Amino acid sequence: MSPSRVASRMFLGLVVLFVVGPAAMVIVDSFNGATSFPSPFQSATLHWYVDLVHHDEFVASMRVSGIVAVLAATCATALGFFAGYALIRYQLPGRNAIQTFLLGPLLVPQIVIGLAELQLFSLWGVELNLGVLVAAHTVYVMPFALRVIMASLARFDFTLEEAAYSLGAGRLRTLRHVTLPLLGSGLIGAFVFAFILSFVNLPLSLFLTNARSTTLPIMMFAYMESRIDPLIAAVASVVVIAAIATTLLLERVFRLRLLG
Amino acid sequence: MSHLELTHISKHFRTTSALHDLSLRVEAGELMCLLGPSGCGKTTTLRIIAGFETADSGDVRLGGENIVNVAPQKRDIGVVFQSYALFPHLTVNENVGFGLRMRRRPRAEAEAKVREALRLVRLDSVGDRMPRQLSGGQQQRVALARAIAIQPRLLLLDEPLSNLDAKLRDEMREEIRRIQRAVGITTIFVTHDQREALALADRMAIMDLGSIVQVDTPVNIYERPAHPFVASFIGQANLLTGSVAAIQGAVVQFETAAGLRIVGESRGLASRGDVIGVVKSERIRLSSEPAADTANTFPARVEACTYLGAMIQYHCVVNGEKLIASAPNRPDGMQFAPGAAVHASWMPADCLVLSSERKG
Repeated sequence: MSPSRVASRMFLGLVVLFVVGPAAMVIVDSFNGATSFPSPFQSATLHWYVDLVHHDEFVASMRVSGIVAVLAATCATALGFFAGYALIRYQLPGRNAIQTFLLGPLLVPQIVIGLAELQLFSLWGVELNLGVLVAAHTVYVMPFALRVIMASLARFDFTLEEAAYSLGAGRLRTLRHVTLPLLGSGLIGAFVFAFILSFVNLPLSLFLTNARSTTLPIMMFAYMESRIDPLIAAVASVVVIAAIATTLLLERVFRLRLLG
Repeated sequence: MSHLELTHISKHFRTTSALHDLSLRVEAGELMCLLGPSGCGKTTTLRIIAGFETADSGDVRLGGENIVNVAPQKRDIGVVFQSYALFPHLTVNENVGFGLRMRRRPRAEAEAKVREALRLVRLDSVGDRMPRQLSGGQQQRVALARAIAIQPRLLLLDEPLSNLDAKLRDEMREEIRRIQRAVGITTIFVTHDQREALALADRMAIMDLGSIVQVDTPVNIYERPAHPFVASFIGQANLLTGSVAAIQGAVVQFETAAGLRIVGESRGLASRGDVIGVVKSERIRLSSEPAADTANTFPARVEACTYLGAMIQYHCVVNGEKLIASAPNRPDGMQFAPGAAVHASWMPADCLVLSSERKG
């Protein structure tokens, strides 16, 4: 084996040990019959999943997180597409400054963004609601979407758009029939990335949720503060399995390679 | 009225100026080649006609209608791009049918037209393949079929052969000529390859530094260049600078700085003064004895020979003046080695005298 192969195997091993391993442990623990968490495996049970389904607050928070993540990821992908298109396609004056500005939220701690937005919204007298949360999440996940979309736009041949114009397609139909289909994997990748980042986000949501818009990470955080039992492992397992399943499904449906 | 008329087109890019006051007329059914060195503005001209770029000033008229403010998708102009720009996510049939679909033609009619266009470019059997499964030459044909399937009012080709290897290039050049004749479509073909332009064009426009220098038939461009740039750009020409000694009708006698007295012909010199005599390399004969039939015969020395296969090129020096002569590589042809003392001669009719002060 060449040294680079050895190195890549070792890297893979570390990923399994530190990323896949803990996730697998949590999934195993979610079937644990013990009542405290974490504890040695006692007996296999689906008890915690049954509990979870009947736990109205968890179910409601999953719904909120799902809605917020879908909306935030949609906004971020759309904004990221338009911004990325303008940055890559046109020789805008101040292009680098604009790009740095748009990627700015990556450089600011999320706690600071969350606090700043809370102050801003209370200054404006805007009540905290789902819209506020979606806006905040969009600000935070947009740079990630933008990066993914710019990478795929950099490989896009804009002559194809001119070919479409010359064949009688206007801007919108060119976008629909040529540009978007060819950027498809980049856009879906950006959406999935943004969705997951929003779905698991805690720091922003800490400041911007109220009783009716509690997201899943907040709910988990709050739950673990009062008690620790394998129910939390069941919640975590659902999230992990749902994320993997969604990614695999998208890969299958759109014939993409999201998982390398 | 010409089918396409460009009048006083100017275009500046941020730092450089691309076109200056360019005017061009293309007649219906004509194949016009835009030929020039890279950076001369030929592609910019094409993009302005297609509507991808906007001229700073000037008009573009197609069939009498000013289309300067018409969006590219409403111009009805077919374009074949240098990179072909086939849609990689669509099959060959879908690519060729794209324009018809955008025009919302009935399905049966569109399918028939796609088949017809593919038959015209002799690619009937690949309709269901994806562009990446085709060879470069086949992709080129699909691009051509896609552009003509919409029956455009004008066909623009931007260096369409530059990505093909030499043999395929000649073949496709003939194909394009055949298809253009068969469809009878007015065509503008941009190229930097003069062989391509000479072989294809009904007329060609020679461009330099953002303007058109001369527009004429290939024969006239080659034989009777009107401007020193055209003379030096087309073919392998010797440019001999000198000043006029005598003018008698079309016959001009001039003397170079090195003291050669040369007889040439002009098409009406405006004035005496500095001139350039243009002699194509293949019109110079090399012989061991002075030529008896022309006054233009000078002792020369062969400095170097270049073997070009079908031709042999001799780099000679006459009185310190460098001359390039070329001769067909034939068994009965004269062969000289470097260092040989020879005589270089040419007929007065083969030396075109241009004023070096004239601006084209």
